[in-house]
Amino acid sequence: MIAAARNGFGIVCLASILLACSQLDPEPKPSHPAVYVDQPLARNLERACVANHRPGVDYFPQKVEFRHSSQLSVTYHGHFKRVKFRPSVSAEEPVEFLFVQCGTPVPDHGAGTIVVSVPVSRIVTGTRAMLGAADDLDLVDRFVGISDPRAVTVPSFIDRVEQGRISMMSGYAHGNIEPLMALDPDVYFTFHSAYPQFNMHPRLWALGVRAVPFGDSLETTPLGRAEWLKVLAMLTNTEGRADIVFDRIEREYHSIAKLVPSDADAPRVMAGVASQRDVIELFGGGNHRARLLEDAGGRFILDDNGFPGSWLIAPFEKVYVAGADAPFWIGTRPGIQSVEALIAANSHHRWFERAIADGHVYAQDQGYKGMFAFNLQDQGLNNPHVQLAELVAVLHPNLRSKLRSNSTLSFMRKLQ
Amino acid sequence: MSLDVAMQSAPTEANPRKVFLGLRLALVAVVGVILFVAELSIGAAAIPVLDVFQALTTGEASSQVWINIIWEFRLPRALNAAVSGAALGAAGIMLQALFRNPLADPYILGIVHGARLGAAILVVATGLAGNAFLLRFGLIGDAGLAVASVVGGLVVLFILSALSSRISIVTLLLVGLMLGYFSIGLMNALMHFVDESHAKAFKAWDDASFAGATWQQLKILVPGILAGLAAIAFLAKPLNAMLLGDRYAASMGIPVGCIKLAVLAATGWFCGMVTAFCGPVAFLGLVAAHIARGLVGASDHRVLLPAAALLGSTVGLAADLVTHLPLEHHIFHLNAVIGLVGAPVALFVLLRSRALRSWEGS
Repeated sequence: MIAAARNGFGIVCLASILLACSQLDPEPKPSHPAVYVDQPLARNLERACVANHRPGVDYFPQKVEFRHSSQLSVTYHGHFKRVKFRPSVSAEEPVEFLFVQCGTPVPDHGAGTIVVSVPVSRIVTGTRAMLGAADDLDLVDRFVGISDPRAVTVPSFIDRVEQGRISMMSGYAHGNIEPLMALDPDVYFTFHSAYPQFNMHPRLWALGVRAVPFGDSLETTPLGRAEWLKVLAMLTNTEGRADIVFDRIEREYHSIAKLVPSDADAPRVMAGVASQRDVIELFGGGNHRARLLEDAGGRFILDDNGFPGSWLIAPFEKVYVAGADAPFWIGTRPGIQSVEALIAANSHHRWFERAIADGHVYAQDQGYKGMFAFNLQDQGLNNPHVQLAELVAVLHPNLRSKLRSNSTLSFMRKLQ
Repeated sequence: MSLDVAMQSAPTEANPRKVFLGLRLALVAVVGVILFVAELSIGAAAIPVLDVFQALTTGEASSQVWINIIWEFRLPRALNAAVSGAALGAAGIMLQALFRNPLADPYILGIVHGARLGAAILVVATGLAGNAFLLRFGLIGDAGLAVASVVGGLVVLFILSALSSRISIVTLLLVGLMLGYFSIGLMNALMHFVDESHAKAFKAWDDASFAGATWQQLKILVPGILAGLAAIAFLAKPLNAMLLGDRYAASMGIPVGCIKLAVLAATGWFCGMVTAFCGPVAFLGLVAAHIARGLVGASDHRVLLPAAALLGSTVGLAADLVTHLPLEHHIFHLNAVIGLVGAPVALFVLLRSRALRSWEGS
């Protein structure tokens, strides 16, 4: 009797759990219409396949090139694009992608080459770095899944999430393989980490998922990082728009950087947060964030460290020696409102006395909605010029009057 | 435990052997002192030895930053490693005697995890964690963390003690492991009730390390552990008697129940105190205890207890020194270092040790 009651209770519990679970019900995959191409194209086919492939025809009259990226290169070959990605950290053989115009044959390629038919219409992403760029390129409607839709800060994406058009893909290592395979996207963007154990793209490739690792965080310059928006463009055949968007970013970035006199007395800048009991998490001296500080007329405290990674764990002592008398501390722990709270979170923070005494402690967490959910995460990639302008205004207040920005976006926040 | 082994440790031992043992222990002490000095001199920041000496003796050095590093980081860390290592070494020996089990160790038996759980419950109850907790409530917070950890460790210890007379040695180890895993599971579940930043702070606290201890924490830890070490000196003789069995000890007028309780309380005290301020340090008790047995070559707790404390202190300092070696692009974790260096050493000593055979006979 007792055993039967126990079994019944177990079954009810199991049924409740199963009923509480929601499973993905993917929408049917849209397919691009096939068009006949009889004359030379003036524009790339952004939403169409080719019905009559003819060798020798240039299906990509609009092209991009990488002028700043330290990791990406591309060559165009009539009906396909060969993209190579050589990570700046732990680089071995470059990863090769073939982006092939749909309706045309796939060229011969090596076993390790990832082939994606373009233009893609269904994108799922496990990293949110390119969402702002997708908005700039008017590609929001191509996204059907995001690692954590609640963390999105781009208004157009927030609208799409609220409409229920974007599935949640959260789970281990920036994505959850099971719902990802259920959605069967044309391409999946995954975060490329400097630390191989955090990378999930090799596993995804083995499972047949067309995963493109985004290594934007490992770039050595802010403009190199911004060029990753061109990857998005190449996958959607929107190179024409990407060139316009990127040229504007580049122009504005250079015009702001020119304001900073080259002989400026560059103030030293502390960055990062204390972690565990005696380490500091910050970025490498060769990372794009260090270069951004340099372009803004500052000097990163670990500028002699050439590591291009965005996540460096350094001994506390080492960072303390370098940063104790730095007048600025930019990039503290997101979500912490005051210096007092920052010190309460980890008492090691109090030792960076100069920046605290001068009142120059900043977080880069405007729009904070939770851990890893703020403007910089989604919109930093395509707005290096906005970041630069903010940094110049902080590091060189005398230049504020010369900074003209028509952007309402901001990233930095001064701690109380 | 056979009678002949116990007799080896009798006070009638030949003098040359005692002298040799004394020399060995003195050598360990000298190594400990050298490691302590190295702890103050070697680190990620390259500080000349002269500046270290000046900073310690006169409070002055070429840079105020260096003075802060030596006085606020390296010295508290070295003291913490020395004292906590001693506590864990002594706890390891006492647990092995109490459970008559060569694998008894605060970490393996789940006592450390019980202490962690105690701290986690306190953290969740206050809605804060780690250093945030300590800073918010100052000395009261530090003491509260220590008390919670001691209570958590004692709960596990008392469960093990209650079961120890009814189950085999192997089963007892399994029970300890299961209690440890249960504590870890409960602790993880509890973290769902605090926000992300507090959970992160707790995770930082939960990473075993001798670093990060403040002088305020040392004001609790050092006297607490020194008092505990002084107190367990009174347990050495009864523990020797109990090696020959509870009945034999009782026939000698030893209050066996009270002694067991005192050993439990002392072990819980040491483990709780260390876990509160260093996180879950693994295997140091086991390693120190076995090296001490190999070094002493007998089971006399009058020698074993101080030897294990000394060895624990030395191993703690050595492991901490390796953890903080100025290596580019690499951060060692304390438990990894203890496991990597200490385990082979302990294994080597175990395989050569006559003391191991005495366990096999018991």
